[in-house]
Amino acid sequence: MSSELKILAVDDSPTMRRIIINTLKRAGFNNVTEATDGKDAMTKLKVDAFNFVITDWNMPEMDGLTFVNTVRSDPQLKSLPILMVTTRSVKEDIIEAMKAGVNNYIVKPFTPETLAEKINQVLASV
Amino acid sequence: MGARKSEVAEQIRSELRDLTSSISAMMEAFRQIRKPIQESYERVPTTAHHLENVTEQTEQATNKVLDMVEAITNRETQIGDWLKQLKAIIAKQKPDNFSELERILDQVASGSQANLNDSYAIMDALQFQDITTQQIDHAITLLDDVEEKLTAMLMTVGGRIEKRPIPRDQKKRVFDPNAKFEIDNPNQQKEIDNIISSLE
Repeated sequence: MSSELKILAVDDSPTMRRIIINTLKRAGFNNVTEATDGKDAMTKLKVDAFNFVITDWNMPEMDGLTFVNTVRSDPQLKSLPILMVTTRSVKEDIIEAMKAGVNNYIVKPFTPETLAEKINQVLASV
Repeated sequence: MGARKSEVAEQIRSELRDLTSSISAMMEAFRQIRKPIQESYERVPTTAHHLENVTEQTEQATNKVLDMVEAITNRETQIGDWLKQLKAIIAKQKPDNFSELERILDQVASGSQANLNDSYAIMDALQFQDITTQQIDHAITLLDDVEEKLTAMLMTVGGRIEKRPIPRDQKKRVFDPNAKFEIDNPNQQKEIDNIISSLE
């Protein structure tokens, strides 16, 4: 499944996008596309089919939470698995993200093992 | 009646003299506090600019390190593949010293794998750049707020309001004010997982 999975990695930090892509490749996920924020991600989701989304929270234009809400309210995209990867570790934020519809939540800095584990957990649950 | 008028006029003149004196003292106080406020007002954008430079230079250096780490991991992966091929070729030929050659090849492969793992560990640690950028963006936002308040104070005391001496990056700053770098804290993710489990 890992090699077939088409992932959209959404983060405004070019460094984090590179690290996420490299970490995903290490775990066997080679088909990864980048987006710089929620707005850019929505544009990419409209023109291409993805099986999985990894998104940051704090981003310009459209933040991660608004992005998740937008995806969940779109009839074509509402079932898309979403993993949030963010620095926000406050309990209220996690609850808010889960209520918005993220499938799982990772706090930065993350380990490659955690990223692979959470992707597999989400895939197993959808 | 004339004496009464003269007395009132003198009282008014006295009050006006006191008022003039108070205003002069107040103007002098304004003049005295204007200088330090003016200096602070001029320093804030410079400090914020320095912090922006830190972010920019850290990002450049991080990307340079990432370039090198990616090159190392690609080479080490290739070396691992070559060693496997070499071992297969030697295994087919079964030379007299096969076990010795195999031992050496395994050692080289083990060293190469250790290099690969260390390179990945460097890459993981480079996540610090995203986190320090958010911390610096938070500090710059606080400085912008101080600058705004100093501007208001300076206008009140009649100071010079000039255009920023250094053009600043006007990008929209989005950050987590509580962002922290704790790569060796295994409990951080566990705490998140526990919160998520409690919601299910």
